[in-house]
Amino acid sequence: MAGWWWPAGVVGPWFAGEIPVVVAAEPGESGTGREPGAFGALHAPDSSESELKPPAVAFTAPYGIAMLVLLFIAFFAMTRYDVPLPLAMSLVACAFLAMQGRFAPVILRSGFMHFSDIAILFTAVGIPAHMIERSQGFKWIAAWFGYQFGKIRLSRPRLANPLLVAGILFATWLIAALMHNVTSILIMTPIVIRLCDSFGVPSRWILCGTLIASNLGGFSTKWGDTPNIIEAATWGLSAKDFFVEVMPANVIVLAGLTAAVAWLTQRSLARLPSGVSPYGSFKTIDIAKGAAGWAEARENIEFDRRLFWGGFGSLALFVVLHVVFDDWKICIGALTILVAVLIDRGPDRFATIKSLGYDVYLAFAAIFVLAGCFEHSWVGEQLREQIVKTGAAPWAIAITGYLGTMFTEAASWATAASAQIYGLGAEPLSIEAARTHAAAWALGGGICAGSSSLVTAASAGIILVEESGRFRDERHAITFRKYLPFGLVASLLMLVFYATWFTFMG
Amino acid sequence: MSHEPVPTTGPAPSAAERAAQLRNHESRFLKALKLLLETGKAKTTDDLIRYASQDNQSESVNYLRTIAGENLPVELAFDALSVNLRLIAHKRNSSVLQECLKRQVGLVMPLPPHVIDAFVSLMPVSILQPDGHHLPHAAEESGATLVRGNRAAREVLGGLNAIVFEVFSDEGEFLVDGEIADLLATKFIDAGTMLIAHLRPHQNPDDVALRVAAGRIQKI
Repeated sequence: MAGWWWPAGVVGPWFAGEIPVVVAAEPGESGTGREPGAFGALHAPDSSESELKPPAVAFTAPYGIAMLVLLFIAFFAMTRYDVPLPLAMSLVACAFLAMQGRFAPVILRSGFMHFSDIAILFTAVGIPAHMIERSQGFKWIAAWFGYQFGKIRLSRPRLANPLLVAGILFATWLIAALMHNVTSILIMTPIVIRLCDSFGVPSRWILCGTLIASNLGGFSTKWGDTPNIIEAATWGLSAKDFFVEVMPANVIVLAGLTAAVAWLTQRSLARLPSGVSPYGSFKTIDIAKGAAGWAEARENIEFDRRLFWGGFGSLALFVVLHVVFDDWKICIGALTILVAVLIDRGPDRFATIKSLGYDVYLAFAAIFVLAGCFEHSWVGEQLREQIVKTGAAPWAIAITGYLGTMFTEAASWATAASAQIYGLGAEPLSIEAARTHAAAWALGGGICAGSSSLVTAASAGIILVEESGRFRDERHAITFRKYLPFGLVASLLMLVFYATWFTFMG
Repeated sequence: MSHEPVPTTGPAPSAAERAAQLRNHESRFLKALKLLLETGKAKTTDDLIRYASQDNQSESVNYLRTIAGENLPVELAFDALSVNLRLIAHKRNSSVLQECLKRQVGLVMPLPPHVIDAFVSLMPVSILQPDGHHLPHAAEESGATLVRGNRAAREVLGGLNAIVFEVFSDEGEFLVDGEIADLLATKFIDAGTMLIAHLRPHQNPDDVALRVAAGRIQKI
């Protein structure tokens, strides 16, 4: 899958990574109680469209199963045959639209109206992130960290490995929170492998931990992961809501994850004889040479300060203003794009505004069309029934999110629940719990835990497998089997934590 | 009558001057020893000998042994070794640059800025940018001939007789980026071409073994 995003740099693939199958409000339906920003409320159909209804066959089981089979085939093609995600998703979206018959234009317009907000907001994050990446800023910081870690490893060996684990997991979490979880994995995987290789530290548990840290970071901010965007739009959540109501829970999980990964790494090292690392004989001089190598790497980097500070400043501007003035987000996003592009050098500006790449926008458009199609189908109805039975309890929403994510490609399936759950608050069911933030967070928590269960459950996992497998040393490669025991245990603990936390916090 | 100094443009930099700016592969070993001194892991000259020996630095081991009997403080022994290794590196790199002055030189990206500067300021060079590699600003602004893409680079390679590129040394094996390995396939390169390698500190994900006899490669 690596090929399709490289032209746009490592920040290119972002949000195309997952298949949120979120759902629109019933087009033309009045009195749904949708808040501004909810998916369906964005579309005001004209009188002729309001008379259109989805075909009756869409609410039959064979139709819904056919949709799921198509989605599964796309997922299989992406993982098995490296079919680019935008291609697979676009084709599935076209197939779904064709299946909708005369109702297709309604879904298409709803999806694209929602897509327009996303195009501005993600471009506003994507351009500065791409500038930071091009500045070699991440590599420079990693080289600085590598050198400092080497010094600590020599002077205080007991402290070194827990610090390494904490530093890596925190950096992964932070990059995912500020940018996107897929970006975070792309940036951090080679850095982790080089750090572990330089200092003879087993990489397995740390790499497994980075996948969960990236999911946690993604779940911590409004723009950190695709499901958040959908939930934010459906429930009308602001960036501040994420900051205040979700981030503390995720920081607690991150602390627990860090402790577990540090312990597992230490245990792996303790099983090896003295002077031996997982990669062969390893002596004190090798640690010193590892540190010296990082110092040399830093000297060799052509660090572009203008790009780095320009990108960092624009990103900070966007994040802070977006959190404080949520109603002005489109204005702030547009301003960020303008500032960032003007800061860049003249000849690079055209390339800068295309940072995310056509592929990402294409995938996004497809994702929103898919979401609309699922809404008006048997799949959406089934999901709604299951949640109704439990009265939209946070624990039930979290479990649905976990299982849905685990057994489909990514947060996709669970994200399909967003508008369905929110819609339960409207007449005739009027389930108030479905309209609370706790319902949104429970869904997000379930998706986050589900994304961490298997490497195939989220795009970040697939990328981790690919990136770690590109190194010559197979010991760094994270495979489905290598990740499975860690992922299952950690994700189940996360699920229990989120279900409990959001039930009581709600 | 007073003689006013006549403003002149400075002399062109010599190979020796540029060699002094070129970071050499010995510097990593020296930095490592310095870290061992700073963190208290190396307290005597014997410790330095032990660490040098663990790293298979036979020249350094021999040199340190010659001064071990003089009961020098360990810092002084390190300084002496440092000067000795830097002299060796300087002479070698000067000689490489001097030899390159007589040749058609190609720099295959990626290379760190100090390597690009050293060659570009001394001689006309071609900078080869294989597919998928970024061209640093130092290269773009150098005034050197830029050759972009593998196809164009292959066409130019036949006319070069000194090629500078980056490698990672892994237990005696040289690893290079896959695209560069393709470029350096022997069918494109004349047997008399000098192959000059700058050692990078870390392995890259797409590295492959370089299929060129190790004896042909001149490290800088």
